[in-house]
Amino acid sequence: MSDQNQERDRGRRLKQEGLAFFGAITASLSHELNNAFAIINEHGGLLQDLLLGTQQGVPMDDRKLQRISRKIGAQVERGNALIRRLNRFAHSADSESREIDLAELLGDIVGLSQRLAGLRMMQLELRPGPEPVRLVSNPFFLQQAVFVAFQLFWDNAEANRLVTVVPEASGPGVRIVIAGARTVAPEASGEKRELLSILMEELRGEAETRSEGAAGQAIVLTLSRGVPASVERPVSA
Amino acid sequence: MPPIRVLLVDDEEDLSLVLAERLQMRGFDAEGVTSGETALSRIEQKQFDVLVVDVKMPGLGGLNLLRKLRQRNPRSQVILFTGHGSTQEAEEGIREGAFDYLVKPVEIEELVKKIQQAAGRP
Repeated sequence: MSDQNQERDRGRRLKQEGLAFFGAITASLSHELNNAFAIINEHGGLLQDLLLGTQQGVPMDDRKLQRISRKIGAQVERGNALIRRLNRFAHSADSESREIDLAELLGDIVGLSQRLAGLRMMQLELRPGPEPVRLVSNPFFLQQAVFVAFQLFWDNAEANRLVTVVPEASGPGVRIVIAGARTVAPEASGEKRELLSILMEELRGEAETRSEGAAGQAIVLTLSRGVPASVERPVSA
Repeated sequence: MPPIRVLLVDDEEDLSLVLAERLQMRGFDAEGVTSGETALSRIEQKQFDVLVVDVKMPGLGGLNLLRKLRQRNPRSQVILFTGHGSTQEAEEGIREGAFDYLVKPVEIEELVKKIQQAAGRP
């Protein structure tokens, strides 16, 4: 296959995988939002039930009203947080390169992936250091690379109950250490590992799986702090 | 006639509990739990006429719970609860013996009607 064809195939794969990633995240978020709406809907219904009761002479229970109000408020807050995160995620595709606060970006992708991990009985935990770590990179590809690393752990969900994510400065660059008990075996995850390599190449970085001794395994994403050689697209509203 | 015994199984605790409360206000003997595993241990202690089960749950998901229920307690009817994107799984559940499915959010009267039909007391 010629270099040109290889480049085209790689571009096509990146586009396809990017859409699949976007779809997985937005489908999961829409499910969560739907749950928040369902809970608000039921508590609104419960209020109506109570009002009907008062019309039939049943006294209104103030504590119950307060509880309903708290539950609705909590779900509205949950929905707002989900929408804020979804909005930042959607805009992460606006620019191929921008300055990133790594802990903030990782906080978003951890939050966005938490439900999908939870369905596999796995919890994701971000452990940022005291100092902020900043870099200039492609935020969408970076989140996608971290998500693929999560998948390499949750595809072996039996083994992984907790996966930690640690951003750290590393000399002139940065590292993201994603650690759990054991990643899925290489022979069962060839395509995902290949995608992770492609993404890290796009980010001018590299991915490595290393043993952490008794603590398990880690996928380490290493990146420079510099600007990837790419053309910046205009940012949409 | 004794009330219809309903077990609501949804990992969204606030949803299963409020639905149970609204069903109790309508004369059902209803309770809510938040996992398939808890539902299985609950049915060891009490016979339920109808289980309303969320399709997507951590651990023992709705379809796996349905399969276990069909083996252990074939007299209980199962109504699956699903989000918009999971109707395919719910349809698979019907092929495996679920009574029907409902898409969240659901109107309480629709849920009541479905539970009554499932329990054979429309």
